[in-house]
Amino acid sequence: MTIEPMNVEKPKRFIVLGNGIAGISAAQAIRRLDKEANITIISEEVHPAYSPCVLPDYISGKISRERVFVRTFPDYSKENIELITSVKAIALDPDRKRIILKAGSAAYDKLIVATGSKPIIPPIHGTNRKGVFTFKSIEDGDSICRWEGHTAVVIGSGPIGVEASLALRRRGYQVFLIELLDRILPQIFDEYPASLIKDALKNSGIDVGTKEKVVEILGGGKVEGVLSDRRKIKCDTVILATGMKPEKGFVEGILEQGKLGGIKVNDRMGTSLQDVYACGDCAEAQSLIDGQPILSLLWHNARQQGVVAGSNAAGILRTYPGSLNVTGVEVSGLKAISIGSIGAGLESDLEIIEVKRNEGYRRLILSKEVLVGVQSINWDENLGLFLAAILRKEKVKTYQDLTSSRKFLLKPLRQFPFGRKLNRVASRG
Amino acid sequence: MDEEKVLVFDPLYCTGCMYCVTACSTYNNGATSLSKSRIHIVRHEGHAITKMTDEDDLIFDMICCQQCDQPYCLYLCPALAVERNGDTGALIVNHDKCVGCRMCMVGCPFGAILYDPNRKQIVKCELCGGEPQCVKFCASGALQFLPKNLAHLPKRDRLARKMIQLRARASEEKPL
Repeated sequence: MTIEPMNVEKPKRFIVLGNGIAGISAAQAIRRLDKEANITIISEEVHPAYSPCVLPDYISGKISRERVFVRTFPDYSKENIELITSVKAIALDPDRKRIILKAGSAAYDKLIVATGSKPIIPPIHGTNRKGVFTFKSIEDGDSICRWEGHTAVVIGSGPIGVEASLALRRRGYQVFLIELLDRILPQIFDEYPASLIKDALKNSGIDVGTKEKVVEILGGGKVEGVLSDRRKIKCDTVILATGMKPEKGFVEGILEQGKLGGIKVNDRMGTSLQDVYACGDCAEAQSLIDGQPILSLLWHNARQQGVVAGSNAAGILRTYPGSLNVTGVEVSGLKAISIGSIGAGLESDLEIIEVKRNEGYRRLILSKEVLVGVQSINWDENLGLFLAAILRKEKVKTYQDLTSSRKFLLKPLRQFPFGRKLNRVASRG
Repeated sequence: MDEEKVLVFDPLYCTGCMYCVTACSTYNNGATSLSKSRIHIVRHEGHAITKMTDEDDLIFDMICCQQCDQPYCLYLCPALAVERNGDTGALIVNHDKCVGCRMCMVGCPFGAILYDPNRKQIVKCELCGGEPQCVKFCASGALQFLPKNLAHLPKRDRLARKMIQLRARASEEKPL
């Protein structure tokens, strides 16, 4: 007697667009849940995955180029994930479930869009001159390392701008940092802590100009200077750090967009099309603090979204708790950390607790008695406590409330997607 | 697969001898230095939380990496340097990847992650590859390395003893 084989389900085909952290996290999550699945990552870049967050360390010479990469090519095959590099996807056929590549096409059961973000080029004259760089990809890093300059103007003082300035300063450049708004790091620090960071930047030899608008990048083929509304700076290098925008590529017009310009996703990272998920910088998820749509553009959020998107694509329901800002900047001995929202962004019912200790400074932002943000300068200890409190939406009255009792740490965080037993926790719902 | 083991600490037995701290720094750094140890013993005086008797007002507590199930350090690391070791369940810092940005220190709720200024990198308890030296050298038996399913036993033991004491005291005060 022969035993009839059971109806074996064909292994599912997963296609991940983009080889950034969101893409590889999604692919890894799928692999952990589905050992048989065919997983393909399609990337426009030629490299294995790398971390743009450590690019400043590479440019300043602190770490070698290899250290920027977080994966190697053998890592992919070890996990049985196929990586196709330097291939551009150009169209999507959602009815036939096919993705059209530059040469050929590929069928998918589930598609994950993790195309990331690209730098915003500000609408000023002269951004195409030689010596103007953006600061996102490893190619940017390579070309900045190859470039021989002496004076640099960094336009925009977000974390990228500040870190680029410091990296170039360490390379021996004379650096000018120009910000349009009234303070540096305007999205993650309030006025007083920002002024402390500004002083530290000035002490390390960086010329910081706030409330200054760049009008034009001067020069012929090469950069010769920058003209702002206040002065004319002679320079040979310009870094554009004016922000990032979602890289939607061909999916623009196919997938519904949010009001901030990202791909609109629900809390399971699903898009407007069935079986298509989006995660990472290109997705517009909700904020953990107030539930409003937000473009997070931060590494750890992308990683978290990747896991959520991958799990849901593999058929395990998992929800994304929301994006949260956790950013750190280190300026010549001054360590500044910002977690959550800042005072300037939220308007209603704000309460601010300021604590000073020797050289340290801390600013807690409470909205309706719930901790929503912390900014800390030179005061590292216990910061994890605040992060935990924000994630748990802990009610706080005084600063001591939070530091003396740690009972809230015992409350489990149901939605944290980095649990070890991904399979088991997920199947429990 | 063997059940993963965890570090279990019982403050009742700890005498504050610092053998664990010495063993940890010697084993992991090659030099005895209290500040470089990955395990820390903290002295509480007067306001002991787990007070056993009325005379007992000095107690030691242990701070070390908890090898969390939901690790913030892993989640915040921009270089994917924090990894979970499949055998021991410990969170390991991959020093080929770590760039020393210290975001994991920001995230850790226990303050259990150290920064090594010489290497400019992060160091943390990695359970000595499955054979923790602190446990090996613990003089009083306060530190134990137990499988997860047995980790509650010392606690149960302690609670049982406390209950016996309380019952004894209650029967003295109000004889039945």
